[in-house]
Formats: sequence, structure tokens, C-alpha cells
Amino acid sequence: MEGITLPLYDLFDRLREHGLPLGISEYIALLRSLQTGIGLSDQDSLRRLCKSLWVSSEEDSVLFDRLFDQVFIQSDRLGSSEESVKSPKESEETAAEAQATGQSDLSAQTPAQVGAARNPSLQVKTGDLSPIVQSIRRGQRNINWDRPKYNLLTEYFPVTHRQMKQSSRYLRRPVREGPAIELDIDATVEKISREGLFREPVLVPRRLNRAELVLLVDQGGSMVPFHALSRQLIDAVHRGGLMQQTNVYYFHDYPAEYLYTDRSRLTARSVLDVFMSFDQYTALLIVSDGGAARGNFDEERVKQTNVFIQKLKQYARRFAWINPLPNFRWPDTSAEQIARNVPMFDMSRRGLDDAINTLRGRYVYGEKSYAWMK
Amino acid sequence: MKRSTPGLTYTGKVQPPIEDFEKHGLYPYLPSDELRDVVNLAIFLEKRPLLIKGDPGSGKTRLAKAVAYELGLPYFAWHIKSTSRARDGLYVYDAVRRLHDAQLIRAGTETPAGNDDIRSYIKMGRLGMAFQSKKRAVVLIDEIDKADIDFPNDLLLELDEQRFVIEETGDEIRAKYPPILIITSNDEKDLPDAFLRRCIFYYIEFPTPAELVNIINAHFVDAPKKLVDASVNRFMQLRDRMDQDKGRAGKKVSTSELLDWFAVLNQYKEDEALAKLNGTLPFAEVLLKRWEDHFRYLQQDVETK
Repeated sequence: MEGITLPLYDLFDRLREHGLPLGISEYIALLRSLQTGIGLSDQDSLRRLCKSLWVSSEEDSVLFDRLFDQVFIQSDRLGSSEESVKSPKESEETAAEAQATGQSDLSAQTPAQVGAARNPSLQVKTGDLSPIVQSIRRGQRNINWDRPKYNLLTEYFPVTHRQMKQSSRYLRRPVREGPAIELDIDATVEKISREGLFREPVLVPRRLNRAELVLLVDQGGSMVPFHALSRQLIDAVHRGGLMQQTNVYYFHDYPAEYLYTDRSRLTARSVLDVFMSFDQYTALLIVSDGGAARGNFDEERVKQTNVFIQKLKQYARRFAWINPLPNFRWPDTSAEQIARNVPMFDMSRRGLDDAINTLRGRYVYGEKSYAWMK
Repeated sequence: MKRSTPGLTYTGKVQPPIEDFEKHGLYPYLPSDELRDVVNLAIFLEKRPLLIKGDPGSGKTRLAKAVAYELGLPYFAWHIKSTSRARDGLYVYDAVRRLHDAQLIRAGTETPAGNDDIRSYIKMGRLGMAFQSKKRAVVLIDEIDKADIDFPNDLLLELDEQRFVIEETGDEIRAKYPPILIITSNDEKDLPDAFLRRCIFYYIEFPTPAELVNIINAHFVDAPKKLVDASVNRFMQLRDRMDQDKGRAGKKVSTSELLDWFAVLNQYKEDEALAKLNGTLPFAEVLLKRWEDHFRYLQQDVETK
């Protein structure tokens, strides 16, 4: 494959590495557009073209801009903070890339402008066909994204945002409810044979997902390092899930008399009050390290947690516990004792799936769930 | 490389004549240059739907009609409800009516002539109609996020291959021309990755003040310039303040609300309307829809006087 230059392949590849769902056809779509001259008038229009084809959410758009800038390294635009974030390896590569435009073995790293220069078919029609893309008034840079200046890559987490969403979609409780609009064929046939004549069809309500999820999130103290992670999880079940309703409550260390509806734990709601709002479809997911982060054994915490769980069992049929620490960190901490009482899982793809299955009543949690449980 | 659809280029410059505003529900639409380019990209790439997101009232839904109007193409709007199924957009087979008719024929109250054709019980959906259209059609799938999560995925095959089969008759409907598909989403639910991958994505940003002035001028042809400028100014003040308070999260005043608001202001004589704009926010009920907003922004108004 030596000597073949794929324009912007490097950018495409990096986006894929960061988990964007892109396939060959998306790459071909870019090539087709480039060949007719779309997006070739300057860097901003190229950026917009790639973005509209490859990026499908505002979150990804921030990631895209960063990677795009890395590929088109421009010292005047890159702030010093961004420089320091880059790994030494990458800086080397990009530096090498700037000099090595003549060498084809570095082609994967070569920016598209060079690719276009060497690939005549891409260059031919820049002049005549691009009234479409000629004018740019506002650069995308002016957009204020209103988010922190750094990017937290989801890969940093033991489970990605996408995976969280995928897991949470399994939480379904289809129930027939609402107006009767769906035809029940079996019942209709049965009715015709009984009456000897078809008069009207038998209609039943549609299946709706009645699953309701309540998240109890441990906030503050030893959970501080995991706040970003629990925020991701909350967001994933809120927007990715199919639940009819998702409620989030916060607590600190263990839920006592009150749960809080806000992250700073200012607005309180009594535990009993929350429990009373549960119905038979409600599933409850607790997110807490259970004392495993500090690694000590806190008798009071175990005791109070058990009290809470006892109470909970009377109102919620199904519940599970997600621990942001891996399960080998639980032994000899309060988390171990809690895990013997409550189905507790890692914050990993596997753990999340098991937790969701527990909430669906399809996973039997027992003594042998973890190797250290004897 | 030859462009497969010569001549189809959306410029965003052709606007309907003023007498059509009320009569045909046609309104001027002034896209930003970026939006215009993205529309042309969707026209060119053919099989890729254009996914539009943006604040409520930013003109997501109106875009499709504007494109259809300028290019003179047939327009099919498919408004999604929470009960919509993907197949409803392709075709609907009325089994119950057929069964009913069959019963009547058997009972002798109706003659079998003509009524036995299964095809007469099949009704095309919006997308099905667009596939059969003799010209390229513009299809709007409005608020796709309202539907079930599987809805977009159920359309993948039909969009990729531009054909579908009517199961009841075995007929294959093949698109004569790939429709220009514009999909809007309010972002209430995430869409499946497999679907997103195929879309061209665009987020409609809020227009700049200069663009707002143009938009108002396009809608109200002989509006006095002073009044337009003053109301856009006043509107932007409010919006900026909401921006500071709410960030990206809350409901902010939108372009469509500005148009409604201006319509009210424009009823008054120019000097009268200008005087109103100088006092507390006039006709606040058009712009502020929540009690908190009412309280906060009108209160501040009074305090700053």
C-alpha cells in the first residue's frame, strides 16, 4: 500500500479510535464530496464538511474540533494549555509530519491539503464547482460551547458512555396501557368463529415501556473522584434509556432519613416519601463505593446501610448496587460486608449488564458471584 | 466526476411572494451560509438524511418546506408521534376494512366486483409517496426523537437501498429519485448510533442580530427600519440575559417568538411602538412563558428603571 495517500485518513482513524461510529461508507462520502470540490475552498469549509458528515452530536463536535486541530497543527491557534495536554509521542509525530511531506511512508499522518496536492483528481475542480461552499462568514470558532476548557475522554472510564446507554436499554417492562389501538388477531379470529360473522375487531392497548428507574447516587467524600463517572451514568440512563421515568437522588456515605434531589444536597426528601412513590415497575440502582475507596471497615456504615436496605426491600422489588471500584478492591472493607447483602457490581460493561439483569430479575446474585466470596 | 443531479442547488435566496404567507402557509426562510451548504451536501450525497437539531423555534421544521419551495419539488411532511411506527411512513395496509368488505360480500349485501383487489386496501405513507414521486421530493421527518428508539433503525434498509417491499402484495416500491430527507430532532432522546452514522448533522445556531433584522424584514415587508432595529435590540438584551442565567440548559426566547412579538408591535404606529419598547418589556406574555421568567425578567426591568 506504499505510496497511496488517503486524504484525512488520519483524522478519520483517530475519530474511530475515540469511539465515533464511523464506517467505510462515511469515509467514501467524504471522498465523493471532496471530488466535486465541496469543502476544498479553505480549512474552515473542510472542517465543516467533515463535521457534518462524521459528527452527530454536540459533544462529539468538541472532540472533533480538537482532533482536527491536532491533525492540522497550527501553532498560532493552539493555546499553551492544549500543548501540554498532548502526549510527547503525538507532538513528535506532528512535528515529523510537518517536515516529512515528501515521504510517502508517513502518508497516514499527512494532512489532506498535501493529499489533495498529490492526488490530481481531487484538485481539478476547486475553481468551477464551488459556489456552494465558497463563502464563509462566521468561523465555527466563534461558537461558545459553554463547557469546561478540557475534554474528558470517555475512554478514561472503565465503561464508556455508549456502553452505559446500551446496557440501560435492556431495562424494559413492556405493559399494555393507554387507548386500545392495536389489533389482537388471535382474539379477533376467536370472536369471529364464536359469532360466525365478523363485526368488529378486538383491539388492545399498545405495549409501553413502564420501567421506572430510581438512581441513588453517593455524592461527596470518597466519591469525589467518581463524580464525573456517576454524572455520565445519570446522563446515559436519562437520555439513552427507554424508561418512562428516571429519578435521581443523592446521599452521602449511606442513605439515612433523607435523600437529596440536587447534587449539593440542599433539597431534601424523606426516604419514606421517596419509597412511597415506588410502584411495582420501579427498579432502584445505588451508585456508591460502599467504603471501598478509602479501604477501611466502618461498622456504622455497614449497619446503617443494612437498615436502609431492609427498609428498601419492603418497597422496591428489584435493586442493585454499582460500585465504581473494581471488585478485588472490596474485600476487607465495608463494601465487602454490604456486597454480601446487596447485589453489588463493578462499574464495567459486564458489571452494568449484570446489574441491569438483576433489575430485570434475570440474574441470581449469590455467594459465589466473586472469587473472594467464600 | 459528473454531478448526478445537475441544477439542484439550494441558495436560500428565493422567497415566496407575500400573498402566499397566509394562504399557503409559506413563509420566508433565511438560512445561514453554513446551513445552506449543508443542505446542498445532503442534496448531493443523495442517500444521507440531513439531521437538524437546535433550540425550539429556531426553524428546524420550516427548513424542509423552504427547500422544497425554492427548488420547486414536491414536499411530504411526516410528523412523528410517540406511537408512530417506521412502516407507517412507507405504507399502511387496512386489513380490517378488507375483512369487513369480505364479510359483506359473503353476506350478499355487496357485489364482489372490483372490491377484491388487495391493492385498494394499501395506502402509501409519506416516504412511500416520495419514493413514487416523479420528481425528487423533499421529505420532512419531524421530531424523530418522539418515536420509539427502534424507529430510526427500522428505516435504515429503506433509506440505504431506496426501496421497500409491500409484504401483502409482494410489490417492490423502488425510489425513482432519492428523496431529499430532512429530519429534525429536539434531542429529547438520543438516536441509535447506526442511524446517526448515516446522517449529515447540523446544529442550528441562534442567528446574529443582523440576521434577525433580515428575517424580520423578510416577514414584514414594509416594517419601519427604526422599529425593527429597536425591537431586535430589545430582544437580544433579553436573550443575552437569559443566556447568562440559564446557559444552554433552559428555554430561551427564540426566533419564532421574536416574529410573533414583532407582529404585535407592528400593529401600533411607529412612534407609539418605539415608546413602548423604551418602557418595561411590552407584550411580555408573547416572550416569557414561564412564571419564573416573568417574575425575574420583568422584576429586573422595574428595578433598573
